[in-house]
Amino acid sequence: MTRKEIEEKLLDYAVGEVTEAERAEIEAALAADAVLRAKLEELRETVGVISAAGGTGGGKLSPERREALMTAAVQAALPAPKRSGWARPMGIAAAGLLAVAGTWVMLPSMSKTRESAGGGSIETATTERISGAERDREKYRYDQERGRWEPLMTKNPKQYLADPSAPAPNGQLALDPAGRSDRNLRRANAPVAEVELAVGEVSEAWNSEEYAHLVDNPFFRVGDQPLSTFSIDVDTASYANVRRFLSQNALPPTGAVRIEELVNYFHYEYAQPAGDAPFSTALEVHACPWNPKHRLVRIGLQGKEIKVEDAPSTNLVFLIDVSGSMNNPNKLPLVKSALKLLVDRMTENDRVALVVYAGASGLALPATNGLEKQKIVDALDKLRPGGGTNGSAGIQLAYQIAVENFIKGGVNRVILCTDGDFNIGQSSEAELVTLIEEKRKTGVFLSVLGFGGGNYADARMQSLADKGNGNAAYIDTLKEAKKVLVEQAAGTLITIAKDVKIQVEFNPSKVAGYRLIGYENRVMAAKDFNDDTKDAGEIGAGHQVTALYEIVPAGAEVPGGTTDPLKYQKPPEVPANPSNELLTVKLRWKKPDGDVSDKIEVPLADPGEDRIGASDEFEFAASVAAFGMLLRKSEHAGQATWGLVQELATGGLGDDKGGYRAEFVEMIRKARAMAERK
Amino acid sequence: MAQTDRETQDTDLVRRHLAGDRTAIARLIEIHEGPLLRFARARLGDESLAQDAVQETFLRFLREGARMRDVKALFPWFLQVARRVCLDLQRKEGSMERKHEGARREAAGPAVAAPDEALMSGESNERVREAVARLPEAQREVLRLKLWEGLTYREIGTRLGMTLTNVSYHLGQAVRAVAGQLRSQGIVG
Repeated sequence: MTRKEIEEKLLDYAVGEVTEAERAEIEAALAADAVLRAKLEELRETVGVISAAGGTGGGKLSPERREALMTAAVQAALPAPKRSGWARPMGIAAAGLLAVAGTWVMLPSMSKTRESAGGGSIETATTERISGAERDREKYRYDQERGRWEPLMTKNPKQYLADPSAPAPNGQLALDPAGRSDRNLRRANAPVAEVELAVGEVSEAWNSEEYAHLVDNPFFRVGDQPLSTFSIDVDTASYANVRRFLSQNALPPTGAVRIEELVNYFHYEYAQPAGDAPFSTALEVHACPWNPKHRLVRIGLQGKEIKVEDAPSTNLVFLIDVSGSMNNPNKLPLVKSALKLLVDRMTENDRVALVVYAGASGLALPATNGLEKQKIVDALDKLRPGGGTNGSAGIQLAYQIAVENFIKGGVNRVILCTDGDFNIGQSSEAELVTLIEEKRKTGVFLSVLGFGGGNYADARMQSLADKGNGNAAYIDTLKEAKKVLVEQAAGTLITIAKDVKIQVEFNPSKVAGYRLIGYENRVMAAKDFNDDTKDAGEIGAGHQVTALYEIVPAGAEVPGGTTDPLKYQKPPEVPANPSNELLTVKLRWKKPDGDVSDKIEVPLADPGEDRIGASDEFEFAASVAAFGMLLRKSEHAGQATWGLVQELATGGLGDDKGGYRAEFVEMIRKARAMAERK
Repeated sequence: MAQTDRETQDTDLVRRHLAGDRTAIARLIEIHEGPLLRFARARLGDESLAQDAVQETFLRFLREGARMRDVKALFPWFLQVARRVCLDLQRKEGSMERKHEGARREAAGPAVAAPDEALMSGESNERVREAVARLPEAQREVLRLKLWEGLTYREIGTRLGMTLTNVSYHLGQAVRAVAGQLRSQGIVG
C-alpha cells in the first residue's frame, strides 16, 4: 500500500475491518511514522466520541467486573483514603493522570488524590473484590421491581438484617492512618459537631452492616415472675458504633443501639470492693425520670482494680484480619496504631505473637518478649491487606500459639482484630462458634476488637467474644483504642471473675412490676442462675457493670397488656411482709480458673426519694438509658424527651475524667437535631 | 444549559451514591456502561481492554467522585476519565504500542490534546446525535449500524445492499462529516 492508501485504510483499521496482512502493513507504517500515528489517534478519538453517543445497548461489563465494582462501591462509600504507606501505587492510573493535561470538573484538592490513587492494581482489585461480592450475593437479592437490594433472611429467624430504610453512614472521621499526627488526632477526636460532613444530606439508604434484631424487654408482673435473671455484659461496642453513625449525620439503625452497652461505656464512681471480693455492689433508687409514677433502680458492680505493678504476665496473640476489606485507613492502619499502644506498655514478663489471616493464615511473628518492642512494631508495620478472609484457620493457629506459650496464672489471650467481614471458607459460622467454645477450655480467653464501618458485623463479633470467654470493643478512633487498650487495659486483659450472673428477686409487697432496661440478649431463665454449666459474662479488673430496672410500685398498674385473671389459680397472696426492701440482688460468679460459683446477696430498701437526691452517677446513667430508648424508638420511653436526656446528662456530668460525658452531651445535641429534623 | 432528564437523573444518582446508597452505583453503571464501552472499544479496538478501561473508569469514580463539583456533567466526566484510562492502557498493553512506546509518547502530545471546554460543560452526546441526524441517509445508516449497533462491514453490506468498499467509503464520509461539525462546535479537537 502507498502512504495514501494506508491513510485511507486507517478508519477501517481503527474499527477492526482490515485483513491480517493489511493490519501488519499498517502497523509497520504506524511504527515508522509519527504523523500517521497522530492521525490514527485523532480518528480513534472522533470515532470514540461518536460511538459513545449511541445510547444504551453498547454492551455490558462482564459480570465479574460488575460485581467487583459493586463491592468496591461498598468500600468506597467513604472518602478516598489519604496517602499512606500501605497504599500501593496504582500502576496504570498514576502515569496517565499526570501525563495528560485536562479540564477536571473537580476541586483543587483533587491533585492529592492523583498522587495517592489508593487501591491495588486492576487485577488485584478484581480478585479481592469478587470474593466480597460473592459473599454479598448470599445475603442480598436484587429486587427488580423495587430496584434495590433486599436482605435475605438468615437461617436464624431472630437474626435478620438492619432496617433497610435506616440511614447509612457516608463519611468517616478524619484520622491519620499512622496515628502519629497530633493535629489529625485532635481532629479525629473533635466533638461530633465539629466534624465536617462530606455530604449535607443522608439518603434513606442502607448498607451491609449486620445487627441482630432486638425487642425491648417488656414489663413483667412480680406476681407472674418474681425473679429477673441475666448475664452481665461489659461490652461497650454499641456506644462507639452509635457515635460513628451520629458523626456521619445518620441516626443509627435501632438494632445497633444496645442500651446496656451505652450505659456501660461510661465510668461511674463506685466504691472499690473490700477484702478479697472480686467486686462490690452499688445500688440506688429514685423516681424514674421518664415516668414519675415509677421508680428507677440502678445496680452497679465494681470489679476490683489491679495495679499495673501487680498485673500478671501476659501472653498475647494478636490475630489480625488482613483481608482486602481491611484496606481502609480506619481499619488495618488503626489496628496497627492501636496495638502499638499496647506493645508500648509491655515488659519483659510479657509475650506477643502475631497471626494474620486472609486467603491463607500465617504466623507473622512468633511469641516475642515484650522488651523487643522494635521487633514487634516492625512486624506490625509489615502487615499489608490483601486476599479473602479465612477466619477459622487463623483462629486455630492463634489458639495454638497461645497454648504453646501458656503462662500459668498469667493472662493468656487471643486478641482478634477484624472488621468482622468473615468469609469463613469451608466452615459454617456455627462451626466457628464451636471451635471457639472448645478453645475456651484451654484457658485462653478471647478479645474481639472491631474496626471500621460499612460491613461491621456487630452481632457476630459479640457472639464470638461471648463464646470465647471474652469481651468485644469497637474501635473507631485512636482515642477509643487508648481507652480500651491503655486506660482499661487491665479490664480488657485480666479477667477477675467469669460467668457472672445477676438475679433480682422483687418483693411483691413493694413492687407490682418491673422492666430490665437493655440486656435483651443477656436474659437467662431463672433456673440457670444456679446452674454452673451455663455460660455467662466475664468481668475484668476495674470493669464496671451497670444495670437499670424500671419499677412499678405495688398498687400501680403494670403497663403492657393485662391478661384476664386466671380462672383456676389465685394470684399469690401478697404476704404482709414487714420488710421495707424493694428487692434483693443475688450475684453468682466463678473465679477465672474455677468451675464452681460463689454467691452473694444484697438487699435494697427504697427510702422513697424523688430525683432531687439522685447522685450524678445515677442521673447520668438514666440519661444514657433514655437516650438509647429514644434512639430505639422504644415504646417504654414514657415521657422521655431529648430535653430530658440533655438535662439529666448535664446534671450528671460530675468530674468527667477524660471528657467522655461531655462528648456524650454533644452526641445528644446532634441526635436531637437529626431526630427533630425528621 | 437547561438540565436534561438524563442529567437530573445523574445528579440524583450521584448524590444518592455519595450518601451511601449502594444501589445508586448499579444504576449509574447500567446507564453509562454501554456508551463508555463503545467509546473504549473505538479507542482500543479490543473488547477485553475496553472492559478493563470501563471498569477502571467506574473505579476512579468511586475513589474520586466525592470531589466532583459539577455533577450535571457526569457523562462528559466519565468520558474524560475513560479517555485517560484508554491512553494508559494503550501505552501498556498494545503490542504495537509496547514496541514503539517511545515514539508514541512523542507523538501523543498534540494529537490527544485535551478536549475543549465545550465537551466538558455540556451534553456532547446530544450534539453528536444532531450531527449524525443531518447526514445523508446512506452515511447515517452505515455509521449507526457500525458504530452504534456494532455490526461488521459484511453484515452492513448485506443489510443495505452495498459492497464492502462502499460501506467503508460511507463510514469514512460520515465520520469526517460529523467530526467536522463537532470540530466547528469545539467538541473534538
